[in-house]
Amino acid sequence: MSLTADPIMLHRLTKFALLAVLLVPGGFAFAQPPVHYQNRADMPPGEVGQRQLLRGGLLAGYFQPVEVTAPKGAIVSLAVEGGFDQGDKESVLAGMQIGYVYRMRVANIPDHAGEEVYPTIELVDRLYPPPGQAARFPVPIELTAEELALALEGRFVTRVIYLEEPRAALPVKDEPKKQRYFEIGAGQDPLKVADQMGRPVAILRMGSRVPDGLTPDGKFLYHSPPLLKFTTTPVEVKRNEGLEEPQLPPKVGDRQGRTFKRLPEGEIKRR
Amino acid sequence: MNTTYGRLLALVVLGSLGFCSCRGVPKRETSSESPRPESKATIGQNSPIVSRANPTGNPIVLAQHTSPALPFSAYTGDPGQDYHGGMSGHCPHCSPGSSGPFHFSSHAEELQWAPDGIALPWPHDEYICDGGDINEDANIKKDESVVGVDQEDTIAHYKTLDGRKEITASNKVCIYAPRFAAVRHVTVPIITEVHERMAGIEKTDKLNLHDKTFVPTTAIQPEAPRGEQGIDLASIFRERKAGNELARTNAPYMARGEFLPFEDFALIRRGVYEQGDKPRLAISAQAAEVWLDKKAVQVVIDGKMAVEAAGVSGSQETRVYELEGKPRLRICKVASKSDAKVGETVEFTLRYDNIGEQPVSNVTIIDSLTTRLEYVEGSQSSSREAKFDTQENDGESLVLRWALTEPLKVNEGGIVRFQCRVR
Repeated sequence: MSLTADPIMLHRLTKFALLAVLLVPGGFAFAQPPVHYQNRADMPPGEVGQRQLLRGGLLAGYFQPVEVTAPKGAIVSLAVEGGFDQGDKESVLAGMQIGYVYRMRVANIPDHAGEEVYPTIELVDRLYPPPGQAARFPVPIELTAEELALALEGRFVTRVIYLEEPRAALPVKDEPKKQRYFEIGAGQDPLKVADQMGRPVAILRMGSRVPDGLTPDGKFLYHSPPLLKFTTTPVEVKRNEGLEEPQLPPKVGDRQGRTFKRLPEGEIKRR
Repeated sequence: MNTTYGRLLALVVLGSLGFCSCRGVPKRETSSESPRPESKATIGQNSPIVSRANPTGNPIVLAQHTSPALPFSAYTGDPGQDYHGGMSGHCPHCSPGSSGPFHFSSHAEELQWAPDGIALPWPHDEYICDGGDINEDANIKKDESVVGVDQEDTIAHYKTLDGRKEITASNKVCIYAPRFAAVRHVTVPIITEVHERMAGIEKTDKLNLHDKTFVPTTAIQPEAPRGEQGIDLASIFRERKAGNELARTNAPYMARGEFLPFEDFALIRRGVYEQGDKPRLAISAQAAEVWLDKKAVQVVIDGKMAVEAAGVSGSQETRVYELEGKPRLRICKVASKSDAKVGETVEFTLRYDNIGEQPVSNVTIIDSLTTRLEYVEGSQSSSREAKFDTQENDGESLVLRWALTEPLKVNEGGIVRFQCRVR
């Protein structure tokens, strides 16, 4: 018996070599391309949101409900028409638009009597809830006592709120009233980290800024952008799944709000 | 005057009649209606359910509900054209306007619902989904171990009459439940920035002393060698021989401890190709050949593959048994809610039916929960007798497993329910 070349084995070897030649450059082609981040969290407030609007989509004009919660006893006031409103205790629910910067005043902070913090909120993306459920699923923004104290000490706190990717979510049990957060180092960009972990929807900035004088000027309030404040708890809408009527924007006084231009039927179903 | 009043009265009466006829309550679809009392009386436990008629007028017997494990109104068998999921005549997770017959939907179809006026695709990271076979790689091995069950997967496997093991996946159920987290960054801003610059320098000291170091021109060596001693070479060599027997062992030093038992060939040890090594070398080549396919080392001698050519075909007989009917198990999954906040509880129901043409046995239903769903301990229930156990999966959630103890006859089915908390 001699060791001769088997044609089947030779054929296998040829296939193996051919595959290796094809796959090696292919591996480079499938590699993750480098991502260039155009936005940073330390950009001027409103810059990231405005850039998002330039990308298009149904972002402009939509009032995304945002729920701001503060420590017990604190009063949260929103900037309305050149001043702050009388404020709500601990929690406020309001619809905010992407691209604007909303100034708030947090007063009556526990253990910091007489001191005030003026955080800002900037929305950079929106949610797409089922019809009638938008106010039930707002973007939660938590102002913790620790962060308010840090802001009063002169620190600058940036908090980027992101939507978790469900399949990559941490297997932890969340408390509904407490927002989970990750602390990052000084050299890292929170917007970039949040983008890697999910979809950033809002940026909270807090600290190092107080209004000049007794009356805040328009620049400090970012000219009081349009706001849709929910004065009562939104009622849970009975679902009529699959048969919902198209939502109309809320009325402004007696006038019906601006209607979003709807896509034609064929365009909606086109993938 | 009386005539005018009479005409006016007649007009009002006619108008109100017209309104009544136009604003009548729209009739709902028959599939969602509750069974009428007389139909309840006629449909017994063993009588066939006759639900619709074909164009010729003869009633079509859809299926006979014989399983006591199902509710009375349960329906088994092949779903008809009027079946849309059983809820108000419409599938709860289908896109608006899709009123087609029931079918198992794919992942892409489940997410075809879109907010009003938004073109597809749209972000679906606000939904958590469960069900189906996400990578379509679930499989059952010969030892009945199941592989390829990923998070979100819901499958059932069963054994057919001819001993084959089949696997089937359920549909996918999506629940709107966005969850948020935050990334925090705390810095200390620079409040005051001051630039200082040196304006001038004034030095009052002057040079008032200068030392010059001279280079040495003469070197005096203090001591000289006084003598030299020569070393004589060896001129006498004494050899001493012992009278004993000299024993010497020549061993290949480099080979000791280097070759492994299976390398005991003259070809490998000494480079000599011996005829006696041929059969043993062929065996080793065969072993190498087994590992050839992209797995391990290859044996190549003189550029050619080392092979052992031997016939392995023997006398054998193949018998093929063809049994009547095809096995098929259908599993469908529904959720109690379409949206849920963190901390809320969602109830899932799995409905399985033997819609094939032969009974199946060893039916096992497996549901691997996604990371954000936490099984509520003790909340499961099964309409048929089943052995229930759990196991932790990759997403630190649980894999739920129901193994039915009894075979499933044709047109028989059952229901499994369990609760999950959204986390």
